[in-house]
Amino acid sequence: MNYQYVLQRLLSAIVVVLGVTIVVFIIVQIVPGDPARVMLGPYASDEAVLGLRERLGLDRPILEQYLLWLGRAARGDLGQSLLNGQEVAAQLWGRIGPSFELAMVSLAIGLAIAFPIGMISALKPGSVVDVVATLFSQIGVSVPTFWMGILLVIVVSLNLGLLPPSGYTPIAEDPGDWLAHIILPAFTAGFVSASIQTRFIRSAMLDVLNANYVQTARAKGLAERAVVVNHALRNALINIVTIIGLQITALFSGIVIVEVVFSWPGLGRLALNAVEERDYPLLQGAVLVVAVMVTMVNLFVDLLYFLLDPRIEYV
Amino acid sequence: MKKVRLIVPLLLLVLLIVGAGLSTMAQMSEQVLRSAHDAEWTGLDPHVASTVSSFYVLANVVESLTTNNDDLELTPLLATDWSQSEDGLSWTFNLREGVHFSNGVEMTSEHVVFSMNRIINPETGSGRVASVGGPDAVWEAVGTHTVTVTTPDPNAILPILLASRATAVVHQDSVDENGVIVVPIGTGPFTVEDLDGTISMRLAKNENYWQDGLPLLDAVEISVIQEDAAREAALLGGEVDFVTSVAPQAVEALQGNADIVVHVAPALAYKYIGLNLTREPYDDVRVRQAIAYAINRDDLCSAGDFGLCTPLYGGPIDTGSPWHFDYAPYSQDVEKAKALLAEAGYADGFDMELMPTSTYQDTVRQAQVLQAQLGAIGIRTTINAPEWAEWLELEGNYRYDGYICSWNGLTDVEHYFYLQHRTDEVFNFTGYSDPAFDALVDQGRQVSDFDERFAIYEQANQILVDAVPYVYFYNPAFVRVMSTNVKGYVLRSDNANLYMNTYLEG
Repeated sequence: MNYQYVLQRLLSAIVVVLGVTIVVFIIVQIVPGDPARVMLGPYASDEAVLGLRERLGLDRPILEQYLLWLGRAARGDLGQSLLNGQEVAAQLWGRIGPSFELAMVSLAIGLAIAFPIGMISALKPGSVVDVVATLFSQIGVSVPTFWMGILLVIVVSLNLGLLPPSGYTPIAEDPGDWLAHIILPAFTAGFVSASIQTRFIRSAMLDVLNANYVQTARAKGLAERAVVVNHALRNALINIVTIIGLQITALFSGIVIVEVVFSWPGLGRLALNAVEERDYPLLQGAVLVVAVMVTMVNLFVDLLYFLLDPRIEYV
Repeated sequence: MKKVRLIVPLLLLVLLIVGAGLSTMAQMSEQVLRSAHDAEWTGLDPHVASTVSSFYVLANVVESLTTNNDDLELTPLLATDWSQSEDGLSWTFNLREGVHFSNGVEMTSEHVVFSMNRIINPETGSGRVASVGGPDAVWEAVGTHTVTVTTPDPNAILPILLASRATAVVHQDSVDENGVIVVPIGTGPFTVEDLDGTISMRLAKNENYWQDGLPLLDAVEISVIQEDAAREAALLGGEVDFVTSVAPQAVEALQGNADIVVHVAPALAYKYIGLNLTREPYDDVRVRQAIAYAINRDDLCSAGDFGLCTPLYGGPIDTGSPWHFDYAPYSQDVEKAKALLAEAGYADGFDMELMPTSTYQDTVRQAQVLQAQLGAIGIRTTINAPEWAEWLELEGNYRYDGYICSWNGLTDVEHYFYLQHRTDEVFNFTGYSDPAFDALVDQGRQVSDFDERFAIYEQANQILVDAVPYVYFYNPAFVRVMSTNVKGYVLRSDNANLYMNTYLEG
């Protein structure tokens, strides 16, 4: 493993994260909507809005506001939420765990569905299984997540009474209850993820199954199982890992709707509320955390390539 | 040795079972209501917060000098009585003795003056300055349990305006070093515990509460479930005992469920479209009247609130309020609307942008119905539905033709007419201005006798209805749904969410 490469990637990750915070800072300033007016409601006087803007420091130049934020963030102080006055760092800290858990369980469910289906349809292209798998993928990609979530709530929770419809229990508090609460949201997010992964696994496998070295392996008289597992799958994994990495980042940042439908206390729901209420410090903090997580996952995926295929060299 | 190995885990198991049993028994004897609110609170600073979701919590934690009882009559709360000076320029409030904050400190006039001054201080950024007498009001402690307030002009209705948790008396320690209240220390029946951001909290019984025997509950565990279907499922599945709302279309089905109680109350609120009088052609009263005649309020009610509402054919106040006025000229009349448009020079209609907000989907549904109804008299409409923060900015800067919104939590006639309609008042975003109307609502503030005030506001109402700066659609209804074992909860028309008298049976 080339440690210089890892160091380089870490440094570039810091630049990326900084860039993201700058872009977000500029965007929230450009987007119409004033947090002071949101806080005070539709009927607040201009004087009250101006007074609050001053108290919140929103009347200062953008650059000054950003540098102030950055200086504090570097010391671990992400400021206070404009709306509820609570510490941003404390609020984010409480949301990282549930978001991570939901992302991981969703990914596991997604892979558990996608891997066998994708493999079978690649091994038997044009078969009934392949046609059904293609249909499944199309449905998964087309069905809106909120609709799927609400449907599951109505059928599984309301009609069958099998699982709780919403909420969260920390895993350390009650693992059984945690599991009961995570299944529906994780399945909803995992289903969409699975349908995308199925397509990728299928095409990645098809590519390598038609490659010359696989034909050679077959010609050598190797058992089909050995051909698929040792020769084809190993090589297809590079592409599959790439898509899994992308899926993880999407799951970290993009399951807002699942979190809202199932009242899951994750980062996405927090960020959505922060956007709606123009809670700049909270939004900046949430973006910072997600940006760090996404760059870390990307770095991890890159390093994984190296393990999967030692021929890959990092320069 | 083997035996010892076995005994230890067995002992642990027994301890665990006994412990779990004891804690379950303790929980059973505790009166804990599990309540699912429909939106996250946007802060718990009573002087700054403006959302219903924040006051669903705050109504149980802080108290004001005066209040409205369940019949919405003005009653004492932290003040026992009050009187106005002969010149009308000052009020004296006698405070209740023996009231303690949740931190154990006795409430005195010092806390009242601190709280009122905090509201008036522009740095606080409170939107409630008018409710405590205006920016020039002077609050003073006269004794430990007496305060006075002096205003530059006579203010006959100050005790009415103070009847809101937004003018709550809080302890100084509530305010942190940044001048913000994260968790208020109030005199209410509950205190905030285990606050987890804006998604869950526990309201614990305030052991220092001044009303004997109250609250009846030991605690309220509040969670937020934003999605209607999930909230309904949580209630039906027994995850929670109480929900602050359900989708209006679900009410009928829930009313047929024997395990559930549905409370419905007419809301002291109204839904409307505000017309921009600073723009053509809405500066022409005939155009505005044409719009008022063109619309079918029953259809708007069906689309916006699935029929849970009372149409308004004149002013904004429903028949359920003592301030209801009979004047109601605007039953749908398409021909009359067309004639008015022609008379105003718009026989071929005109283009209009409707501005609902995507944050409140009922306004978007209303806009869609309006589009068809206004099309029938030749007004060609487009819909622009920005989300709330952008909407507020467009509305505040008069960058709209017609905005669709609602007014909530209104009790006194003043709340309906003064701040939203008087010339240049902070709530007036249509640009409406009429000296005759202004004179009447100014006069209404100087008078405290009900009949005298009624006569004044009846005239003001008629002027307003004829001028149509707003076309009022309907009064909606509030809904609360709970398990049958939840007792004592009163759903009020002002939407105050009070858990104080609530208890669990069985």
